[in-house]
Amino acid sequence: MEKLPVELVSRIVEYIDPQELSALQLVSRRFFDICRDNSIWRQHCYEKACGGLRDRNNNGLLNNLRPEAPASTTPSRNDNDNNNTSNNISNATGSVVELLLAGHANTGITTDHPESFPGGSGPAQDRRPGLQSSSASNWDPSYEGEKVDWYSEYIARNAKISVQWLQEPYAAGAQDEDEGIIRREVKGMGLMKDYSYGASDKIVGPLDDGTVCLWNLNRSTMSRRGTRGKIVGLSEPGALTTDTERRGDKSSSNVDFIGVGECVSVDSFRQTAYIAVGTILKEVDLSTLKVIHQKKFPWSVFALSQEAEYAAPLTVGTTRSLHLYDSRSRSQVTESRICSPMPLDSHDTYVSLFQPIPLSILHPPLPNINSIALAGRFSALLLYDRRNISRLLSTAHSGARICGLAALPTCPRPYSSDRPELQNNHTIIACGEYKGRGSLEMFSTSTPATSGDYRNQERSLLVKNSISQNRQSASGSKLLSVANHGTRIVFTDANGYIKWVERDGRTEVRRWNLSQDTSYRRHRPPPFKTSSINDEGLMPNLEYWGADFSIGSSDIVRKILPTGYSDVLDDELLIWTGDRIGRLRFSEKPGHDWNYEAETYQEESEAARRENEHKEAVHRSLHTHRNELNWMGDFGTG
Amino acid sequence: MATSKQIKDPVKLIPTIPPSGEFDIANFTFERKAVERSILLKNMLEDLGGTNTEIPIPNVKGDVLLKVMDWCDHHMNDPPTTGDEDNDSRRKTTDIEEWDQNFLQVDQEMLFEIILAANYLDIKALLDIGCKTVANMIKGKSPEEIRKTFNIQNDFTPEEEAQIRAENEWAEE
Repeated sequence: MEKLPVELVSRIVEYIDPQELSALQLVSRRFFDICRDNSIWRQHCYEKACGGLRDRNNNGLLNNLRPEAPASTTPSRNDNDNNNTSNNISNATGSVVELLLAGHANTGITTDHPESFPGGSGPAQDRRPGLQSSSASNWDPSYEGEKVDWYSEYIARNAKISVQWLQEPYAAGAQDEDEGIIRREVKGMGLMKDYSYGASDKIVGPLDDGTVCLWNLNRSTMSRRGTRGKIVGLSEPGALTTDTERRGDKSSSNVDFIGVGECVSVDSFRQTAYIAVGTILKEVDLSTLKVIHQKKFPWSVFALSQEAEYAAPLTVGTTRSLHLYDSRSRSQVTESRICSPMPLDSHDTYVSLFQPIPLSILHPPLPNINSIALAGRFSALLLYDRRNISRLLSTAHSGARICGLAALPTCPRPYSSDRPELQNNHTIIACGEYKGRGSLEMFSTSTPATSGDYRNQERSLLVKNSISQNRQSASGSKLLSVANHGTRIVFTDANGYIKWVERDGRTEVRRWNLSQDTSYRRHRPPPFKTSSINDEGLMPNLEYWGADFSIGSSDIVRKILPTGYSDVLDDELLIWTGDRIGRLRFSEKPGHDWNYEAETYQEESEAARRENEHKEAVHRSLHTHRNELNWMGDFGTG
Repeated sequence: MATSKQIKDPVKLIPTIPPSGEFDIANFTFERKAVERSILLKNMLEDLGGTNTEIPIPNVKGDVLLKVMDWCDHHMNDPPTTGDEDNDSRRKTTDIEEWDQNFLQVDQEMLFEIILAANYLDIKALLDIGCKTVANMIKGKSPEEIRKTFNIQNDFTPEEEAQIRAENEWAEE
């Protein structure tokens, strides 16, 4: 074997499955290098993506078969049709079988939303562009100059998923007989990156009693990885409390967090977190965990801009206005004691909004350093320029209510080939809700040709119409959060799903539901939501889950935040459910569970697992039964 | 063997590294069609024109050449490979037809020599089944078993090994 040249060994390696390829990596350095080759894993990603699409078509899962709503703009229509001709030939078994199978899929495993399949749809017209081309290089979703670690990309696309919850903060509570301790809810999530040598990233979360909590997210060495998810810092209780008299009161949540929008923003460079509590913005030093500054706004704060690659003042969105908050502009002599909310600064730069409630503020990526994109409970995406914030620069109509934004520094395929003029534009990905369904939309914004300096950089403008609006296959319920993850887009919905799609915003890569995370539930002490969850397991109507969202069910992911590292061991997603934070990992091997140290749970969990399996079986049969009834019913009425 | 049959259109291959032991140059006369399974030799024959039918073969040992030509002889009437299916069909399956399987029932040394020769002589089909055979030897084995099978030294430090193990956790059942 040693005497075979590399090209022949990699030829051999091409015959080996991804799973076995990982065993081969352990053989020797030479094999490691060969088996980690980026192009091999890119090829595997491609094959899996195409295979998955083919499977899905064959199983008739609704997503790829649903026809386009006439209202939606389809810039890629022509291209689409061209592709179809070739596609139909290659897929000779095609349409009829798919239609037949579609009926079965409804009775089958969890489809997102058990709705009926529209009868008169022409199967030929609704194929999505994107994965039609046979060659892997056409498929490649990465943009020019983007570095992709295809090995972790493959893992993130295919490996099993598990969630590891962060250590739960407890507070010594009222001396109740039942519970000596009170579990604290985590009311937000931020990530502080620390690039200095040997340092570790930290997760920031305010608790419902006004305490700020820090968790470890080590990335550097193997040995220290074990401490991931451990609490490494707590501020004094109630540090965020706005009302001084209630600060000592530990019994109830005395801080008015606004549960929607983004109320935590971290400045990694300055190691501070901005946390919005009601109308007040608190600046917390993360090394001392003390509030170093606070500012009162005339209305409740609903959204804070998130950290970007460049330094920019924080943008604060309140019910009816948009403010710039620059921590450098306040006086250098900071008072160490917490002062009462200060009156509004007269030099404040702000603009009032025509329509209330912004929910997401985005600072687009470089070189677009002056723009601020804003979306919320209004029908358009707004773009402001930081240099002259009082003037609305441009808008793009959406029609949906957008609650999350993310940016892509390029225009993804296939839209870039359909509209070459957008090639150099940035793309703003928006998620939200349109007529009760999830909507994943993409907007294009021009980028300044020169990176220029702050002052004379030209303004960027939004392109009037969206480049893509996926209101069909994204989700049957409202989308809550969106982010870029590797070469994919990840979003969460009110049904508890986390879904990954290709950058076209339509082609689904994979999905995972929070209810698939059994480890957490079975350990859970009964007073909390355990029982209701098991009931839900029996509930055939999945849409019922959506209703839970409004009353604060913990079984949805409100916010999703990639850790931003592409190497295998650090590629995780942080998820915030509204009351706790977890790490979504691409491995089923359990890590250290901070919340349940004792091994005695092992047996119980085994029993619980069996019980769950039984319940699942019952659920499935009920579901099938119901579908049968529906089907029979159709005969009666038809 | 090639010599046992009547050769209609003979081509003589002269290995520069002769096989060990007794060596009869008559054994290295092959049917032109079989020789043309090798793209390298096919092109060479075309370049040389019809008359010259003696080709020196460097880089391939005599006994390996005999073995390879054995394969070519058996497969000389196969339709020529287009080379287009390179991307997809090739990696899909590791099935090998029975004759080829028996043909490659050789010791490891010989197997690798055949792969190297097939690569050098540009005989794609033979190269493919050779690689498939090796891949089948790797499949389903633990890293330690693979090292044993191919006599490979483990040159990782324990830390590196632990790191890779952690990175490959996802693939474990």
